[in-house]
Formats: sequence, C-alpha cells, structure tokens
Amino acid sequence: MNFRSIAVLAALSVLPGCVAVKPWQHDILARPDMQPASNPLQAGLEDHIYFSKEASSGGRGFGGGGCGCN
Amino acid sequence: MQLNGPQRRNRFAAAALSLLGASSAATAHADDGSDWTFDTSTLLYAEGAGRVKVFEPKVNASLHLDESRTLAATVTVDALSGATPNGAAPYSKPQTFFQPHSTSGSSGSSSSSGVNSTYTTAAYELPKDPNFENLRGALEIDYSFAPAAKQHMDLSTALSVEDDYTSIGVGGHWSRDFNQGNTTLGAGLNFSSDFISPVGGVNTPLSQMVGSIANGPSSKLKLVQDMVVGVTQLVSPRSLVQVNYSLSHSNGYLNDPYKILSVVDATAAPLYYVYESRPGSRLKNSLYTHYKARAMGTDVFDASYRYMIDTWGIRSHTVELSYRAYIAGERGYLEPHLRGYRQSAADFFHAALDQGQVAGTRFASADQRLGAFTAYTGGLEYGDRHWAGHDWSVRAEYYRQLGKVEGLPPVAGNALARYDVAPSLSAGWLIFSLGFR
Repeated sequence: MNFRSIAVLAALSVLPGCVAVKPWQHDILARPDMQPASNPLQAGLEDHIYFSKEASSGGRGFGGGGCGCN
Repeated sequence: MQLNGPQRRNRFAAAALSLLGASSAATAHADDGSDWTFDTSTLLYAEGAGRVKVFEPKVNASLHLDESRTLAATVTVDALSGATPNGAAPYSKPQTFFQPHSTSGSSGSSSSSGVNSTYTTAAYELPKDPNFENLRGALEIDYSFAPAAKQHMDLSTALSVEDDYTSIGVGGHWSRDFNQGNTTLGAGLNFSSDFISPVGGVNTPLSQMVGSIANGPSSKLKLVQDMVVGVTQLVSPRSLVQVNYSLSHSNGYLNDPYKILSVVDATAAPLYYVYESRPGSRLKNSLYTHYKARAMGTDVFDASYRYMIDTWGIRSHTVELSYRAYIAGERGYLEPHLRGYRQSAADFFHAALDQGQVAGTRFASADQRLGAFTAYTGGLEYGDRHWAGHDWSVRAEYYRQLGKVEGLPPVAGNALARYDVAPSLSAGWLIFSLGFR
C-alpha cells in the first residue's frame, strides 16, 4: 500500500454521513480529549521537531517559522 | 518554530470548544474555582550517529478572567547541541571546512574573531559541522475573548530570540458557531518579521567558501504572512471533522546561512564548496483534514491527513493515527501513535554540483530537508489524569527518515553513486507533561 492509498483511505474515513447533533448531545465532544490538540504544549514541541526536519509545517494552525532551525 | 506554538494551537482548540459549548481547554478544567492554570511540557530529543540533542522545556500560565476571557503566557527555552550536516557530499578522503561559528572551539586553528578556524570530517561520511549549538528563548502572549454571542477571538504576539536569529510576530484568529453549535467557521492571520544575523556575517549565495568570516552584510530580513480558514463540523454525537486550508507566504532571506554544496569533478572529488542559494520567496498551500471520534465507550480515535504543495516544487503527504485507550476506570490512558510522511525534492535541490552547473544556476541547495524522503514515527503515551488533583503524561516517540538519492550532478553521477549521499536519520524523544489545576 503506497502513501497515496493511505491518504485516500484517510480521506474516506472522514466522510461519514452528517447527522444533526442536538445541543444537549455536545457533552461527550466537549471533553478536553476531544479537542483538535488535547495537549497543546506537547503538540507544539512535536511541531517544532518536524518543522526542523521536514519541508512542510502547519495544517492544524499556522505554517511555522520564527526560528533559525529551518 | 514558535508560530506553531501552544497559544496558536490553543486558539484552534478554543474555537472547537466554543463550538461545543465550553470556552477553552484550560477553563474546562477550572471548575474548582481556580482562576489560574499552569501547564508544562519538557522535550528530551536525541538523533543517532552523534547528531543533534535538544532539551526544551515549555511553561504556560493562563489567567481565566471570566467565562470567555483568558490571558495566557508561554515561555520556551530551547537548548541544542551536536553535529549537523553542512550540505557537502561525502568523499573517499577526509574533508576540511571553515567553521562559520568563529568563536566556537574547533579541531583546527584557533578561534578569535577574524581568524579562520576549521574542522575536518571523516572519509566516506556525510560531512557534518560538529560544533552546532544554539540557545533560544521564546515568549508568547495570548488573549482570547468573545466579541459577540457565538463568536470567539484570539489575539497573540510572539518573540523568539537566539544568537543569530530574532523573530517577532502578531496574529489573530476569529471563529463563529452556526447550526445550533454544530458548525464552526474560523479564519486567522499571522505576520512575523525575522532578523537573521549569522555568526561571522551573511555569505553571498553561490559564492565560494573561503574563510570563517562572510563576505556580505551582517544581517538579513525575512517576512512571513500566514492565513488559515477552516470549518469544524460535528458529524454525530460522538465524532467531528475539521478541515483547514492554509496559505503561507515568506519572502526575503530564506537561505540557511551555514549550508554549503560541494562542487565536484567527474570522480566526485570536491574542488571547492559554495554557499546555498534559495529563491527569495515561497508560497505554501496546505489542506488539512482531521477526524476525531469516540470509540469503545470513552476511547478516542484520531486520524488526520495533510497535503502540502509549494512554489519550490515540494509536495508532501502526512498521515497521523492515534488511539487513546482509557484504563483503570478512566484514571489513566495508553495512546499508541503512528505517523507517515513523504515529500518530493525542491526543484533546486542538488546533492552536489559540477562546475558547469555552478555557472548556469541561480538556485541550489543540498539541505536534506529540501530533498526527497519518507519518514515514519511510532510512539506510545501514558497519561494519569487524576494525580493529586493534577494530570501528567509521558510520551516516547521514535522517528526514522529514509532519504532518496536525487539531484546528482550529470558529470559525477556515477562516481557519487558510490557514496551514501542521502543517509537515513534516526531520532528518539521523550516528552514529560504536567498540568496543575
């Protein structure tokens, strides 16, 4: 399985049919572990590693920069 | 690097939380009446083959003024040392280079300002500068508030200072909930100005390396403008999808001032070395999709994919998967994590140049980060969510980068193919996190 097929599978996995979620059903999703980055400091450290080793950055947030590491 | 810092990520987390009826990740924990929350994460990072080691602690203090307003500060210290590839190609004999860090100790002659110093690398190995070290300090201030009902605004400013690099930035992100809170639209802008002052001065791109002191000005400027628009959609009472499109434009001095290229003859013998030369602007487009769902009760499944394309000819795919499995009645969790990454090389990437190429090219870099490679990361995190009322976690990750040989000079392609011009890189790290509530 090449990278492109993995990418296609990942894209398909995020396309389930939408259903209306009532306001009183938001509690499960409101937990901190359901946030896009549940540990922002840790995510920041790992983004820093990848920014300094790879040509891509950002996605979740802004695209990186601000240091001499790349 | 700090533009990807916690406050900026907090902004997106906060946008999603506002969608979900809470105000921010931190305040979600502040229901014991405390107005302050403190979080720390510390990185210990090491690369194989005696390359870079990093110690990087981060501390965040957030003051929750009321339900919608939070003022936060994050301080980062980043201490780095070790050996890093200088861009030159390997050869069958030892190679000697001028040490750009003129005040560092070296294996050659001496080190006072204005005196050339050198280091010598082993035969057949990818040449590395053994004296690479850096200390960085960064501060981010972030203020988030609700300008109107169902809206969330986050403003931030950031400063990062190191010996040869200073960055200042400002940014803002706005979001609004629609559709009974099931949909959130967001948009953000960020601007930064970076001042690069290489040790010894700025070298003229593609000029020959002739000493420790540069032949150009003492500093250069780089400007970066980022834009992001995104939507977060609840797709069921147990899952959500986030899609972000981001655009990043940078212009000015985009070179790594310390990176060089070998200029070789037909036998791959280095004739001399030249400083790299990158274009003066770059536009990156990224599309990021993120799916997060509850599974098996309270466990969390997380999958994301990012496609990036830029005007330097680089394309990349990034896939990440993780699964948080709660144990001991949700007191703790185990979270395995996998990441795959692949990028193509920049149009101007060259493993080395021959003399004909030097005469005919405007842009060239042998920086492996601009070459083609595939990388994999695997790791595991353990977290304890109820340790004396606080929470802590430890995360261990292993990263392996597998280089692809590209950009060999026509005249010396066969000769250079004998060497490992794109060696693999291994790195491992630990992150300890502690949250005081």
